[in-house]
Amino acid sequence: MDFEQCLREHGPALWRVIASYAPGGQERDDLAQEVLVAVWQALPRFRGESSAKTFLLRIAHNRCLSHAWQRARRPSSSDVDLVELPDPRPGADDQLASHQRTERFLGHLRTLPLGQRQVLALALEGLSHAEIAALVGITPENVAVRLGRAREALRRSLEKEAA
Amino acid sequence: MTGWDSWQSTWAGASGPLPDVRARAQREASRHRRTQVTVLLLAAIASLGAVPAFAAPEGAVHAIGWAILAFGAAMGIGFLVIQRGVGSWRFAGPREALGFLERRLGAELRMARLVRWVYLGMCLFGGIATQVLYIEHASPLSVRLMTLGCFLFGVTLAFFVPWWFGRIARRRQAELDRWRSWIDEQGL
Repeated sequence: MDFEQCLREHGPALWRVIASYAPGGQERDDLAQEVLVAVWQALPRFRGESSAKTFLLRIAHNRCLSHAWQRARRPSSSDVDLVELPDPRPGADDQLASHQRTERFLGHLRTLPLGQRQVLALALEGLSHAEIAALVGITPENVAVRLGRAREALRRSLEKEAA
Repeated sequence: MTGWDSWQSTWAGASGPLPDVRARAQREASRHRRTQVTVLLLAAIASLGAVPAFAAPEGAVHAIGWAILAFGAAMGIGFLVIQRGVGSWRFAGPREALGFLERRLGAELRMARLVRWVYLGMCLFGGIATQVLYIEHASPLSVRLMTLGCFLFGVTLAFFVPWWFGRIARRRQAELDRWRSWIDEQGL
């Protein structure tokens, strides 16, 4: 699989992983660069032992965890969400509303501890418990426990905002 | 639509532009290749320094030539082995990566101690061998003292390498400990 094909097929999944770690703006762009360079470097080592998607998600999550660790050591001002300006094109209101809904959801997701966030993001991506367990390096039972806690925490966070 | 389905639909609909990193990735790959070539070239140059030694009739000089060759080969092979090791890292999670880094730190400390004794041995051997040759050829005292000084400097340097490395290793271990606490905090 070459880099272009990989981005065509799995680019949106990679973007979602990145967005679940970085709030937006320059920080998200920088993390996207880091993840994609890591993918570029790792692709020649892909031997088909797992699906391409699992392979890429593993690289993306590991690189994002490194980023989260760096960020924890040096908190930056980019924690503040960016203000979106309205787009004057036709249908832009719907697009903007959808974009804001997505960013709000991602914002809630980012409030979860990393262990829960990682498992929830992979489950939302459609991976089975066994695949998540292999990717994260925990047992499938542990995945189920973390996923249950993550769903509960996310539900509480969304309800709190709605209230 | 249930909560989970709604979340999944929002998640699946989320996408955005990804940067074009091909130029940067190619630059990094070529920098990596240049580093490899430079290190191997340096090892080859160091080994070439041994060639004149084999032209000398004395057996002790030949031994010094072999020692230089062994040093160059060990440097080159060691570098390639490390590079291959770096390329084959496969971690399922951050705890495995942390375990690997701790094991590597331990190995580096052991290597620093090994370097101390090997380099010390090499310097002692080189120092004694050259002094024997200088005496046989009745070389001037200034040359003998200067060479001896060089070897003593090498011995001192080799003796302090593990101490210096130990200081760096303690800082790195403290960093790994902070990383471990953060992993625990995040439930990873």
